[in-house]
Amino acid sequence: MATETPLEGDVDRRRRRAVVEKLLLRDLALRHRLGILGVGLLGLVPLLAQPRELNQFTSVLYLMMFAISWDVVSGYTGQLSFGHAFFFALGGYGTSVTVNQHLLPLAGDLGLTLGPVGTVLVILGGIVGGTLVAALGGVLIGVPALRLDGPYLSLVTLIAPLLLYQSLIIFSESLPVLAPGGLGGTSGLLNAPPSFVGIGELNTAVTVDQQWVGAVARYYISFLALLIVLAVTYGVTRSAAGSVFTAIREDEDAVRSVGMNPAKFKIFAFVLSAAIGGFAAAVWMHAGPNAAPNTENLFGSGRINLSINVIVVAIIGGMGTIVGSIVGALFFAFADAVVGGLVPNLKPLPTFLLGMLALVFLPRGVVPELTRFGRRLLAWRRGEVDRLLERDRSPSTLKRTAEKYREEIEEIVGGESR
Amino acid sequence: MSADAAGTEPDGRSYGPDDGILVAEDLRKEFGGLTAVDDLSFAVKEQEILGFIGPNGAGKSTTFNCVTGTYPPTDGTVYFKGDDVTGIPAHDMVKEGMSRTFQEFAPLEDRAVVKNVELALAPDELFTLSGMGGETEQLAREICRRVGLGGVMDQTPAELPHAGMLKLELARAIATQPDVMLVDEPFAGLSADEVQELTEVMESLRRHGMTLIVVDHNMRGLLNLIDRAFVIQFGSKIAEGTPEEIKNDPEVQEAYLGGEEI
Repeated sequence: MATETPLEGDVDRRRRRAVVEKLLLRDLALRHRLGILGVGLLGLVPLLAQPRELNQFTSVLYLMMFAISWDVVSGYTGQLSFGHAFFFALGGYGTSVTVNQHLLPLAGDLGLTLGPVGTVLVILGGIVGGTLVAALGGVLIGVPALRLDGPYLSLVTLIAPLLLYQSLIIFSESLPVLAPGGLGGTSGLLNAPPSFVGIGELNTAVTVDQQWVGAVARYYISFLALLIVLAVTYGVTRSAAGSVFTAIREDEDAVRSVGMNPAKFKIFAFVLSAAIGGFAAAVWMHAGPNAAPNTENLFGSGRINLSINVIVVAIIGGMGTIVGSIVGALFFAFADAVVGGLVPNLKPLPTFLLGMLALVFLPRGVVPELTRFGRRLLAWRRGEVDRLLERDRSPSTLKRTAEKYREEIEEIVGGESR
Repeated sequence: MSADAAGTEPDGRSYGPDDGILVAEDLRKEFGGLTAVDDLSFAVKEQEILGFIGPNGAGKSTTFNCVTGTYPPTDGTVYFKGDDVTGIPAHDMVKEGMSRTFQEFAPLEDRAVVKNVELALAPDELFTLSGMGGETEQLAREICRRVGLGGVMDQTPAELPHAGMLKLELARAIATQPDVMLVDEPFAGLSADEVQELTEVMESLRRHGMTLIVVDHNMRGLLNLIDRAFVIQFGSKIAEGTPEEIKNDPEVQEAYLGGEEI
């Protein structure tokens, strides 16, 4: 209908060129340059830290990935998942079982002696397996729950990790075909899967003779996994599909009314999120510090702590931003270390306190608040003095999501305030 | 298109798939014991502007919720461009080329007006480079200018006046590039100047090949716009014809007696 149609000509070529321009990092906004600087600094952490500190910091990288995986589905589409540990457990157990109970026995049966390269290949196979198992779990939960409008996903995700936890106990001795060696019950699998790098342990792909070399190597493998997760989630959420995700968070009917199927996008976001969580947990089992496939690690203490922690991390950093999870995890780990060091017996309290403070003072999260502050500062430098004091009255993502939930639940139970 | 194009007799004549771009045949919708749409048949010709009129509660919204796939009809058939599209989901109906505006508009509050329109241009695909070259944004801006949102498209919807919201609804529907557009009460609460402005927008859409159905509870403001009016009450047709014919129809006057002005 328009006389001027920007869709004429070789649109595909222009789009590809635009993507290349973006990848070459030209014309970056200040916040993007700061973001890249920040990720670069994360890569330099091993230069500063002692091996023991470095190990602690490596686990923060996994917390970042876990929080990102929650953010992709809950922060973007507003479908709150309360049990993301379900996917971490599927990924972690998935790779351990794949490697220890399938691939290594298979290599033994074939009479292969695995060198470093062979072991790395087996580990990679396990990571792929763990990721697929988690993605499959995402399909099994997501397809039925997300075809409905409303908070049904949340209800299912509350229960799914507990069911999985019980299954670990029920099938502790043996799970036919899938896990002939069993799932180990509450104490976890006794034989940890082989790690990429270690000192003198039996099953490592590469053996090094000094503690710190191993720590640094494990840090960079974990860092590489974080970069992969970042690249995938950035690619998806910054494409047109990302704007559909956030539109679903705002109003599913609006998405439907312009000819898109919200269920398809929700399921995709959920399965992607599941795969990312599974992938991160799977890498952790082979490269992380304290890598053991047990319930304490993969569900958190008390079966739900890790699921709650990732939510707190993503909200502190800023829901629906991806980078927020990275910043949030840093804050979270810092608070955990400082307060936990001062008063060790109050362990979960400082983190929940931090979460409450964030909700009250920074409901949008650290990253969006900083972005807005930076924008106003730039405007002020350009001479638009009054913009420095301007207040944005639009409600935060968190508040809008929570409100939508309240409405949907009231709709189900027949509340009166609608 | 003139009044006698699709049968002026108010008595029941049957319609086939080729009687117009959008044809409803014996459409029926029951909610429990209540019949909201009672074997309604009508045809909309290509490039016409049809007024779909009825008093409040006559079944206008239910009819179009059935036609656009919000919920399936209890009985009857909907033909669109000659194909049977009865009961297909609303989002697929939009892809077929039929879009609608909503009376209770719910723009996405988290993004600018132009971004609201841009969403309608995004493809229903998970992996896409759409929007990367900035061309969908250009197109969204062009659509905003066409409907008269040129000056405010970088504001958030919350800052728009009532007329601006109606224009945004229109822009969003236009952006799905429909062949038939259903416009629900476009003039509610507008001043005469604003009615004139939107009338011109809709006429220009028709000149470019679009078919429009304007739903309203009376004909105020529609007289200059529509070619033909279709009046329903209690889910059935009571009159059909040019606006003048409708105004003088005794049954229509009866329906509106003591209530609002037709």
